[in-house]
Amino acid sequence: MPEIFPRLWRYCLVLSGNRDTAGDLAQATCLRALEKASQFEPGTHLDRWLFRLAQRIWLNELRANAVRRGGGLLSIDEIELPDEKPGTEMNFFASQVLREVYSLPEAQRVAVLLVYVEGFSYKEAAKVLDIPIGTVMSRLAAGRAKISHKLGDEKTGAV
Amino acid sequence: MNTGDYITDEDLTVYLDGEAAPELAQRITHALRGDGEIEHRLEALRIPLDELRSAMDSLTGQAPAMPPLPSSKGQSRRSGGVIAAGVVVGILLGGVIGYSVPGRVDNDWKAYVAAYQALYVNKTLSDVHISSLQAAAMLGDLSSVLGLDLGSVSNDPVLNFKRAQLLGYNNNPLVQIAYLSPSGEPIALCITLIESRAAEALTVGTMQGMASASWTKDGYGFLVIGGSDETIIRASALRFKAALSG
Repeated sequence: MPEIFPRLWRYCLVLSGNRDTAGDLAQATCLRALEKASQFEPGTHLDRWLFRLAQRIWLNELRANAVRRGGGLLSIDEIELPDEKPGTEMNFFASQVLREVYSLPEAQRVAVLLVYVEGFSYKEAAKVLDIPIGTVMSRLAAGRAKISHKLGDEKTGAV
Repeated sequence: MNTGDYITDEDLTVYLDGEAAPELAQRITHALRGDGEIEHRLEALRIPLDELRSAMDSLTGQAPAMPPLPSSKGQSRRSGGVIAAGVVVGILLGGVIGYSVPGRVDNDWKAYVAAYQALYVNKTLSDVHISSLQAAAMLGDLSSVLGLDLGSVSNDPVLNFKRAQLLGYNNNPLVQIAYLSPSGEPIALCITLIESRAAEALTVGTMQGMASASWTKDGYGFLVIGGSDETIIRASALRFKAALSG
């Protein structure tokens, strides 16, 4: 799990949009994984199983509280990229792309993370999110359209 | 999501993501050649994935350290049952051993092809004999599947054409055309549909211990691989590139 924890935390950050909540959610997920260790099928992907646990904990236990206290609302400042090379065009553009992804509705930005960043297949993403594959497609199509529209002519090298 | 003949944004997204079924991929590929509106809609769905991945990778570097977890003894009390230490160890090891990063569609197909090609020996192909008529029929079918005319690839002046077959990767058709080199080494030309329509110049290298050359053009990825002689692979790739560009 230590190998996967940074990606699990990032997934929790994308889900919750808040660093503190993401930390709580990632920790709760690890604890739940230990409790449910006997349900993990050896030979399957641990990361997908952890993401699925995180998704369920978020939806069933933490999301309502986070939204109620405002922690679930997106704070762009909190997820700003580390500015290692201030002023460079690439860093600015990457930051802008990230900002547009974070401005998507939760369902779309999570689908975008799983498929385009984590590299999950539609089927794997559908399983993590517990939704039909067709819904994954719809969310990705909507996410692509919004990001592309917002970035306009700046999206050089887009695929 | 396919609704009759109309190509939806979901269809185009599936196509961009390399998840389209061969029939849909072929339909869109054909539509793109003659329908500017489809091309425009496809463009409106493209996003800068490299920048997105780069930005998201920066985020993992900001992750806090994994918090210490309770021992299995304490955990057993919490869950009201016994967690076998072996299972927990299995999960922790699974994180290291069982975990693999899923691939990017546009690059990883070559790794799969290379692994497949590494299993070929001379005898895999030396006893394969098909007539020129059969070869033409075979390549005609595969040309339709890919939407690319493959008619010329069975007449290579150096490599001895043996057969062509349809494989698949990520729900996309992948055509493998097999040859034997003059010294009897198995060599393959593989072609698949990829996300990017950008043209990438021919690159020669080594994969799975075999010489390889790859390039992309017009939404197709090409790979020539086999044997250890980079000179033969480079020259063959250049001939195929010229033959398939027309």
